[in-house]
Amino acid sequence: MAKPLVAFYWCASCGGCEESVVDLAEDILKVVEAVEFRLFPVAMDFKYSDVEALPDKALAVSFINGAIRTSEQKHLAELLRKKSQLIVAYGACAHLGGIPGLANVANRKEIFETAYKNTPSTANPKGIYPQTVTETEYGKLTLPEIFDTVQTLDQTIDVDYYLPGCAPPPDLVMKSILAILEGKLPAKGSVLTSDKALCETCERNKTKPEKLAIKDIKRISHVIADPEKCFLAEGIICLGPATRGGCGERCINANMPCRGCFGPTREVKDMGARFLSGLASIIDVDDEAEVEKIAKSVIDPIGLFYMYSLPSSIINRKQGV
Amino acid sequence: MRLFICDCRGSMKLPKIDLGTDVKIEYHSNLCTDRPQIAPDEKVVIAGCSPNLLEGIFPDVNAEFVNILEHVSLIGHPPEKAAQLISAAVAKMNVTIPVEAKVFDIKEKSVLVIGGGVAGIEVATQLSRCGVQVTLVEKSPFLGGTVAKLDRLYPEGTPHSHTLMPLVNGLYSQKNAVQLCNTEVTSVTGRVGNYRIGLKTKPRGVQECINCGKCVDVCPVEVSDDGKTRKAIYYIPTFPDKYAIDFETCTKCGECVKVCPGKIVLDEKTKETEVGAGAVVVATGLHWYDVSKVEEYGYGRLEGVMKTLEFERAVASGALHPKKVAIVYCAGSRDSKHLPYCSKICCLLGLKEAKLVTDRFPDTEVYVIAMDMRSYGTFEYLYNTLRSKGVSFIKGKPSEISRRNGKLTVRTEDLYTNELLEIEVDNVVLSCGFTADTETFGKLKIKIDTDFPVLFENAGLGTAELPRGIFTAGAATFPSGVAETLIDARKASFSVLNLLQQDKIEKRLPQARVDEDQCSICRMCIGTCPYGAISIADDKIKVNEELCMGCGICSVTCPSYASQLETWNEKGLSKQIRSLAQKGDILALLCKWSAYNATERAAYDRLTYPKNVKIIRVPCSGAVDPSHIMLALTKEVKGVLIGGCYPHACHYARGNFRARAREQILRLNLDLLGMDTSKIRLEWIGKDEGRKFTEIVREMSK
Repeated sequence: MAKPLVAFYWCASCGGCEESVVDLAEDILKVVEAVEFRLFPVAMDFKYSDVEALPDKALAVSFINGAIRTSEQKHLAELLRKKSQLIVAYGACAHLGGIPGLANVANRKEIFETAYKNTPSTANPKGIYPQTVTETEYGKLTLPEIFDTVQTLDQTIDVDYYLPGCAPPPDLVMKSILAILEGKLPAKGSVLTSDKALCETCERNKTKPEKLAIKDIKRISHVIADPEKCFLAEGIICLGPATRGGCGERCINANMPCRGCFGPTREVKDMGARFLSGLASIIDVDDEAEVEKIAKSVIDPIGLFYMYSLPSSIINRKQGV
Repeated sequence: MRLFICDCRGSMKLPKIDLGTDVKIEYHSNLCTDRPQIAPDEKVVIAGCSPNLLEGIFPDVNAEFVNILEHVSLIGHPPEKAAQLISAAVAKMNVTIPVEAKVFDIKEKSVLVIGGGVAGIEVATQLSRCGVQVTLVEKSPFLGGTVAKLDRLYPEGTPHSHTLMPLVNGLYSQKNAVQLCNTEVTSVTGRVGNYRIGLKTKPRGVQECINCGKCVDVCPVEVSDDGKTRKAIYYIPTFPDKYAIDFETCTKCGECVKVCPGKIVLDEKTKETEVGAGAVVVATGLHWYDVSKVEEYGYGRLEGVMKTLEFERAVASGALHPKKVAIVYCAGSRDSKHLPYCSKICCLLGLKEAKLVTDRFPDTEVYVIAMDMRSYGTFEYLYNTLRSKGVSFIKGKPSEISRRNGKLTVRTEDLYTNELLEIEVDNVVLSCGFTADTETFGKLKIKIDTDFPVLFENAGLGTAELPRGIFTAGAATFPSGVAETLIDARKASFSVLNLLQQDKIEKRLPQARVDEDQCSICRMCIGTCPYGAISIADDKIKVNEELCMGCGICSVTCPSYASQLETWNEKGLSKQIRSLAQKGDILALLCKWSAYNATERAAYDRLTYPKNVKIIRVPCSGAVDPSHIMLALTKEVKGVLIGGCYPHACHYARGNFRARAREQILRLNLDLLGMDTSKIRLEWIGKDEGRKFTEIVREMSK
């Protein structure tokens, strides 16, 4: 029997998702044995034209990582959708928008001005910014268009499954690939990990007092966190209660609170809003002014509540720009 | 789905409504008297007058009520608005989780009363007189509680025997009551109507007794008992009518056995039994604050510094004859480091002790040092009597009590004269406050967040009734004098009878439901419940059906939406908002206890406001989901108003503060996202503040 054809593509991402494939270590041999790649820019020299030449639905599955922020990424995502039976949004950026999605607190113009002009290390007296088409003496040069708004993969194309994480952990990657190869997949649209929040498996949940009540909000960088105790019980913001489990608590084990890369649980659309609602609720003081003071002490709220999920939230970008 | 629309006897102009074939519309003119047949499992939408009324007319129906009278017709808004409100209600009802009635069988018709003081005795007597089987347990060897230890009651110093003896005798003649002294509750299982209670009865040591007192003569162990000295074997003339051994101090020397062989037994075993009860009455009385914690007053460190009860017993027994006494009020009360509240009766206890000592020793100088004198009601006469008797009242709070040159010295300010005083006295009497009996409430799995179960009073349940078929009587409810205790005991007895004469009780309040497949046991919800209804059992989050009052605060707290409130589940509300909110609208999410009623007050007072104000009734401002506010903003509404109760007046304790915290953090987020956050307002609006409501929405519409 012919091996199933597979694509592994990157959009607005950091390369960590590619690294997560390498992290499969010797297991990667099993994958390579079982499938045949048709696109894998980081590792193999296929061209877009190779994919274009394939008949529709020829690819058994395409794993796409990264958020969508350029016309090229959108084009490739649409192409792969056409050529694939299954699309898996691979990693937090494709799933929720991820770190690149934080760009939605600004727009293209502001980003260009910062990146190409205003940073102290940049000298750009003529104010030249990237153009989609540039005429040069050697001919016409083109660049993809950068969009104003970063999107998740499923805001661009129809997605069948989500493999969460920044980056997805190897065991979950291997489990999902095997499930796909064996055709043992859950309902379309599923996130291929636990349906419950991280607290369920977190060792520190056992040390949590029954009643969570905080009187101040601390930043992890300002305290030495007890490696045994629940972060929230200490007043340190941890998104574990609002984030799907299945990651193996990698951050928690390194004494860092959860930042939510696995995204919200099944019924929640806007994980930031959900978590802030929970966090606000455990502020336990009996004075309105004090309540306000504690609530307002949250620093960098977007970076905290929406570190990975701003493009997938209800209000997913800065308004009025 | 059936939709009932009532035009209130033809007073309303109704809109044309077409909601497709799935919604069958029935028009009425008089829903309040011509009630249609609606099956218990049917979901319906009823449009008409206020839900406050409709809820009473349809108490057992799963309905979404639409207020087209007060929110449309009465304020002159066009019928089209009614159509929008109705269709949003239908959209909500399609996905609403209906209320499931919770039925509790009242199987056991007997009652357990914990505490054999005047409150417990009175409850046991009243109930057994009405034919109820009562088990009264008292942890000490004798009935009578604190009152049995007193010389006199306040206000005027009547001997306690005027009250206590008739009470004890009244109980003694009851056939339906069993009194178990030396007995404590060890465990409580079951729920309202069917409790199983484990009891532990410690040995009394004395089996038969003719009250000759020879045992006391030979007992070598002297024990200090609240200001009085007694032996390890002793007697209090209440009930039962025989001596008892205090095994905590008894050395088992055997001298008493020698004078009373066969009748006194030193090696009796503790007995464990179990009883059933349909209801439990907590009548555990006063619990003194540990006033030694007020270190500067030296209780337990300085000889001569006493508590009111000790002073009373010492003076009455003749063991103490002070020439100069200072009575210090609020020792550890109304103090953020100790008891932040006022225990209500200590001012009067202090006055009583002042009167006791001046009655007995008219020459004794008495100083009463009080920040404030709270001699409420007719207790003012007692205060006046003592003033006329020459007792010195000083306004202040002593900073220190010390022993100098063999004399106790009270250092205090006097705010009447603006002087610093140092008063030398023989004795200092600390009038300290009282705490809740957390131990007993803990056994009954009732969490007392604040200081006394007054929280439940806030929830409209009355002081006599804690949920779960557990009632309080007397000082267990809140410190009270004997008269108030007896009144409270009778109220509790009535509540118990009321419960027991039913074969089952049905509760149809919306309740939080937790989906185990979604819940990660993160525990965020537990502490937010004002009623302690949420706990972990068998590694699952459980919502106690008896305790949940349906505020929805926990559901909006849940980071996974695993907890959902019946009637007000997330999906339903989001459908309703999606359907209702239109560009340029003011969406008002209003607490059903306060702000929502203000909108009706506005209608009755003929106050008008713009027709684009769309009102949704929610159980509490603390049940408003920030995602719903964001959802409304994406619909380009002009404003979102959340209305709740004023601080410290929230029906669900601190729901409004949770709303405030959520609103503040949401604002931080939305500011960064360039939203105009002045569109969001969280306002406290009292139930009669129709004018305030209309002013706010008018301002928001500008």
